[in-house]
Formats: sequence, C-alpha cells, structure tokens
Amino acid sequence: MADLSREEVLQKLKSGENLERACLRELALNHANFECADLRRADLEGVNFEESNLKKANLSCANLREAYLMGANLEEINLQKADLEEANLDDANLQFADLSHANLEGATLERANLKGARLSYAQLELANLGGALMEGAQLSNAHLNESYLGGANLREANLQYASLEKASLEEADLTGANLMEASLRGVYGEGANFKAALLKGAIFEDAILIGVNLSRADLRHCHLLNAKLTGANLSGAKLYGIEAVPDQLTEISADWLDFSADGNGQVMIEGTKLVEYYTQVKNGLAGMSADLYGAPKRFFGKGDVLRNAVLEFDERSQVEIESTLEKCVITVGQGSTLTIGPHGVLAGCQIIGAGEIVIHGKFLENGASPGIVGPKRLIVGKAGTVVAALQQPASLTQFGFEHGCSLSLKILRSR
Amino acid sequence: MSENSTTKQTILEDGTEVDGSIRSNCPITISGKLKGDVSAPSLTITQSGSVSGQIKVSELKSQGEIAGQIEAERVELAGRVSDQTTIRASSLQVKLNQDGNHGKLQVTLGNCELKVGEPAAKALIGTAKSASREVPKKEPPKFEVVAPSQVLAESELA
Repeated sequence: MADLSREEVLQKLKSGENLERACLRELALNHANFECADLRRADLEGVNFEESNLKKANLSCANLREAYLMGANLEEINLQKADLEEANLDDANLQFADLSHANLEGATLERANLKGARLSYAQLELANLGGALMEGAQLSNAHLNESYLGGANLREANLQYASLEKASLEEADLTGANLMEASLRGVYGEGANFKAALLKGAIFEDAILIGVNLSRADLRHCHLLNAKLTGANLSGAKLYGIEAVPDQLTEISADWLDFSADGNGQVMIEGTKLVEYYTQVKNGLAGMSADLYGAPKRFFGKGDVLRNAVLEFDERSQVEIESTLEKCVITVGQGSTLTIGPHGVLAGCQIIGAGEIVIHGKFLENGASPGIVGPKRLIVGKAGTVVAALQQPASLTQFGFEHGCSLSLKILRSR
Repeated sequence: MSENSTTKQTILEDGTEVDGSIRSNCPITISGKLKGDVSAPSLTITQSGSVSGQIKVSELKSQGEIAGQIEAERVELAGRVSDQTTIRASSLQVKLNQDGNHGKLQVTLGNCELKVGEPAAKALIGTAKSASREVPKKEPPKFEVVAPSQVLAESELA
C-alpha cells in the first residue's frame, strides 16, 4: 500500500519536496499537476494519473506497471528505464518524452502523441500503438515484436536496427522512415506507406506487403524471401542486392527501378523488364544492358538470313539478333550491347569493338580469326554456344558464363 | 595435411608450398601454392591459392590462380587463369560482378583455351548446316576405268 495519501502527495509537491523512491502504489493522482516533479525510482504501480500534468517530470527508473495515464500530459517527461508494462497511455501527450530503455511491454498507447519522443532500446512487444503519432520518433534498436502499429504515423521516424517481427503495420505511414537493418520478419503491412523510406539491409522474410507503397524506397540488400508483394508500388525503388525469388516480383507495379550499387540511378530498369532482369542478376549474368535504358534498339528477326554484310553500330546501341548471319563483319561501338538471342546464329562472322556481347544463341567463328575482337564483356547464357578465338582489349574482357553453355573458346591477350 | 572428421578434407594452408602431385579420395582445399598434378573428387582454390599442373577433378571451384591442363565435370571460376592453360569441363560458370559498371574483373583470363559442354565440333557442324541455306553443288560421280582383269568376282571377294 502507499506510504502517503493523495492529499499528502499534493502537499509535498506544493512545498517543492522530493518524492524520489516514494511508494505511491494504487493512488488516485488523476487531474493533478506534477509538472517538473521528481519521482525517480518511485513505486507508482497501478497509480491513476488520468489527465494529470507530468510535463518535464522525472520518473526515470520508476515502477509504473499497470498505471493509468490516459490523456495525461507527459510532454518532455523523463521515463528512462521506467517500467510501464501493461500501462494505459491512450491519448497521452508524450511529445519529446524520453522513454529510452523503458519497458512498455503490453502497454496501450492508442492515439498517443509520441512526436519526437525517444524510444531507443525500449521494450514495446505486444504494445498497442494503433493510430499513434510517432513522427520523427527515435526507435532505434527498439523491440516492437507483435506490436500493433495499424494506422500509426511514423513519418521520418528512426527505426534503425529495430525488431518488428510479426508486428502489424497495416495502413501505417512510414514515409521517409529509417528502417536500416531492421527486422520485419512476418510483419503484416497491408496498405502501409514506405515511400522514400530507408530500408537498406532490412529483413522482410515472410512479410505481408500487399498493396504497400515502396516508391523511391531504398531496398538495397533487403531480404524479401517469401514476402507477399502483390500490388506493391516500387516505382523508383532501389533494389540492388535484394534477396528474393523472381516470381515474387511478377505482381508489383513500377514505372522504373534502380539497380545501381550506389543507388544513384545509373542502372535503370523498366518495371516491365524487372523479372527478366532480376532473373539475370540471380544467375550472375546481369549485363550492362540495363545501363542502356532508352538507348536506340535494332532487331533482326527470326527466320531472316543475312550474308556477307558489313554492319556498323554506333555507341550505346542495343542490337538484338534472332536471325542467321553468315560471313558478316559487325562493328559495335563503345557502350553498345549486341545480343544473340536463342534463335540467333552467327556463322563465319567477326564481331569487332568495345561493346558488350551477350550470347544465348550461337556464334561460330569458322572464318576470320579471331572472331571476336576487343569486347568489354562477353556473356554466354546457359543455352549459348561459342566456337571462336577472342582477342581481349588492353583493359581485358569481363567474362560471364552460365552453367550449361557450350564453349570452344581460345582466349588471347591484347597484342 | 588431412584431418579426420565427419567430412574428410585435405587442406593446403596459405604460406605452404608443395612441389609434387596429390591424389586423394576426399575434397581438397588449396590456400597455398601447389606445383604438380591433382586428382580428387573436388578441388577448391581460395583467393590466396594457386595450382599449376594437371588437374583432374569432378568439381573445381577456383578463386585463386590456375595454370596447366584442367579436366573437370563442373567448374566455377573466378580469380586468374594463366597463359597456356586449357580447361575442359562439362559445365562452366563465371559470375559477373553485379556492379559491373565498376569494371572489376571477376576472372582474369590469360592466353588460354576453354572447352566446355558438348563437343564444340558437333555444335559447329550441326548448327552450321542448319544455319546455311546454301545447298552445296553436287559433284558428278567419278568413274575410273579399270581393266577387266582387275575386276574381281563376288565369289573371290568373299
């Protein structure tokens, strides 16, 4: 039981006395003014602080288990390492409050105002933060497993290294939030907004992300295995190094995506080509072709035969051959990509130039040797065949070969 | 060099150099330098490792330097391949760096030969035939006049 009555407590407050370590269990201290009060390490278990003013009070390390703080003014309060397990903080004003290392397990904070609050390393497992205002809050390393954050406003919040496993983020607003290396395994995030959020290295395995907005989000090195992304908007998202299965990406929508390592937009992919490109990435065969977004294309269709021709392609051209070319000399400019498709056959041909050559069909030298001179890259897909000598440039050729390809390739250093 | 554990492995550590051949029935990992022939079910050459000689393995994974005559079922190649090297394999994989724009080479190949997959000649003949729509002109059959005495009877041939 409490050492003091409500009246005694209020009297002590009035006279400016210290209430540090006071035992005030189960007291009704509602609608009272505790502004700047010193209640460090006080035992306040089950206390009723409904609509009380605790602005700038110091309750660090206090015991507030099952305390009733509904609608209380807790602005700039110090609750560091306080125990608020199963406390009721619905509609409380916790703006710029310090709750770092506090225990809020199972606490309810519905519609609470936590704008700019500090919750680093706080224990918020099973807490109810539905509709809470947490804009710009500091939640780095916080534990939010199985918490409810439905409809919460977490714009620009810092959740770096936080754990949100199996949490509910339904319709939550995380625009511009920092979730770098956060764990969101099994999170339920239908309709959540992660626009321009920093999600680098975050773990979304088994997460439900149906209809989420991930536009312009930085998802580099994100783990997305088994995550459901149906209807997710990934326009402009950064996806370099993600861990996913290509099939997971079939139902997303995006105008374009960024696959550059530095997230600087140097490797842009059209949304419609995402699955194809990502499959190549997974196979280690993603070519520079992604860099040629918007570059002019030339296509030689299946069934056509071209003989004894000399073809010259300008810099940054995209050439795709599904035809049969015999005894042709092809010059590809710097930064160009020459793709021999699955039906394409180049027999007795020579390819010259510092472009990239991708072979899914056949290249059979059978004529002037070396058949391939000076390529920046040579990529041979699993169905590709190359029978040729290759003269490398001074800067050496980058090679990419997929299991299943067929090669009889004599490689020569530059003369 | 070998250790007894659940999965036996032969390891040649970084800083060790061996001149001579190794034949093993367990996987070999080479982080040091080996000049000589290798025969094993699998060979892994780490970044610091190098092997120069005849290699006959089922599986080869190399991130180091290889030189010589290599025969394997399955090869995963990175690192460096020296001059005068021939790699014969049923399957070969060389991965590109994902950030290929940075131009870092995953594998550096010297003057070498890669013979991978189906016999190249077979692919050459088969595809060249289907690729070309030119029908070669048929030469008229050539007959040689022989003397009747040179003609052997069928019974004599038997």
